Amino acid sequence: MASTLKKIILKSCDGKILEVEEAVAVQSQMIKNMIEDDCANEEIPLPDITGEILSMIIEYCKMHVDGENNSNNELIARDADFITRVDLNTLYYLIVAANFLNVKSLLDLTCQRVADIIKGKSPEEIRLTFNIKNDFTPEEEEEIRKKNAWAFDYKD
Amino acid sequence: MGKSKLLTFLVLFIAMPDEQDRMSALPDAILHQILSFLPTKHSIQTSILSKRWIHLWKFTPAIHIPYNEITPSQRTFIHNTLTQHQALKIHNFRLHFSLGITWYPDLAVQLQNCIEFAISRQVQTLSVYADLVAAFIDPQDYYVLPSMFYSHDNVRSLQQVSLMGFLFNPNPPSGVPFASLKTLCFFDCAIDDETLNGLLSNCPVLESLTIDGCHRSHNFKASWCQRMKLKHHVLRCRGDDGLNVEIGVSSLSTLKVHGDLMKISFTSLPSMVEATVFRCIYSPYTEDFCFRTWLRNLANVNKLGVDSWFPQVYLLLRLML
Repeated sequence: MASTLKKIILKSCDGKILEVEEAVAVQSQMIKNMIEDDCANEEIPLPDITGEILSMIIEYCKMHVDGENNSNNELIARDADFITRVDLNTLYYLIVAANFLNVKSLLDLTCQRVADIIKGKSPEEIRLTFNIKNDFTPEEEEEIRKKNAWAFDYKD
Repeated sequence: MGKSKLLTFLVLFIAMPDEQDRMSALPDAILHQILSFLPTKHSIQTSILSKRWIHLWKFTPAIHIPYNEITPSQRTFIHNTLTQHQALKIHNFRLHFSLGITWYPDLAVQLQNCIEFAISRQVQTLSVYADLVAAFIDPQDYYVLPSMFYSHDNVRSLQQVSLMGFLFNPNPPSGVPFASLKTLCFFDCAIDDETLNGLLSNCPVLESLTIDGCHRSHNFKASWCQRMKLKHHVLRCRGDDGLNVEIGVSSLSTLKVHGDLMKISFTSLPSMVEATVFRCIYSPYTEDFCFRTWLRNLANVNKLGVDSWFPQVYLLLRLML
């Protein structure tokens, strides 16, 4: 019993300190490895992850630990609710943090979200959405379109 | 005046972090993962976004070609995608298509190439659907699975396999076990009992088995799955051929059976928690379905699915008592 209530202390890059139950913290494979290697007894500093993002990630992990007995559909619905509330900027930081902390299900969820945003958009709309600068000359772009015409032209 | 304008401009410029292209700054592996959630066609179309994106699609660990009627341009698309794709590992390979009225004699070879390509890239989830329903093809002319599907070392990586419209040659080579295969689904495939039995005996960790409208299989015994811990089983009989089914697997927790032409017999099912039997008619006199044994075996079931046949049987039983 005592071991299940063990707290892990996380410190964000802007100095926010968060105490997290071990069961929640081990959703992060990185932290899990640290606990197994007995390196998680003191506070774990997390460079590049702000307190705001860290809180969101903990909220997500907690949702998954608490929802372990819920049906799959319920979890999917909660995931969807969690991720659609997130703006593009936050989504980017969540991806970086989920990747760093190695929370696989959250990385999948965030990447899936980006894919959903890309889906159905023209290249120009995608560039606008993500501020991607088109660094091709018109000739280069035409060349790629020609070379990949088999993928651009066929209808589905 | 000019100075303050410049200052306002600078402040605005710095205060607008949204103007940065953060997505392109993500590591390749993450961008590959993002693209792997897109149909391959959309993934390839991102090559035009900027120089950063030009080759990314070639390394996505997934190929996903959604359901469509096969056309010459789609075949070119499949061919070019596979020849240009460079990822060493492809976790997920999904190709679904229907065959319309045009018959492509060399499509069989292309399909074999697709499966060989997927297996050579250590695919984990393989899903190839050749929907031949509209084409009225005889099962003996279905697409033949390449022998590599049984014998390549990489079949150990397979975790989920779903196939539609394939013909399994009898007595395939065996030797390499499907060591990680947990889910196996055959829809409208032609596979005989002996081949199916042989294949299943090569799947030590199988948990879920779906056999939906398969030809050539006449006597399915779930006991073939006794040695593994099979949990979920779906059986559907659609053709005119009847199917004799014997079910009695101690680990089985869900069972779904659809079809009128099935003769089902049950033995012990101690772990069953969900059972569905769908059929249009029930004729007690042919004893094609052992209703009493079935009910006796459902002691632990907490979710039961039945349709129109059930009230008929219930009424008959009440009348007989």
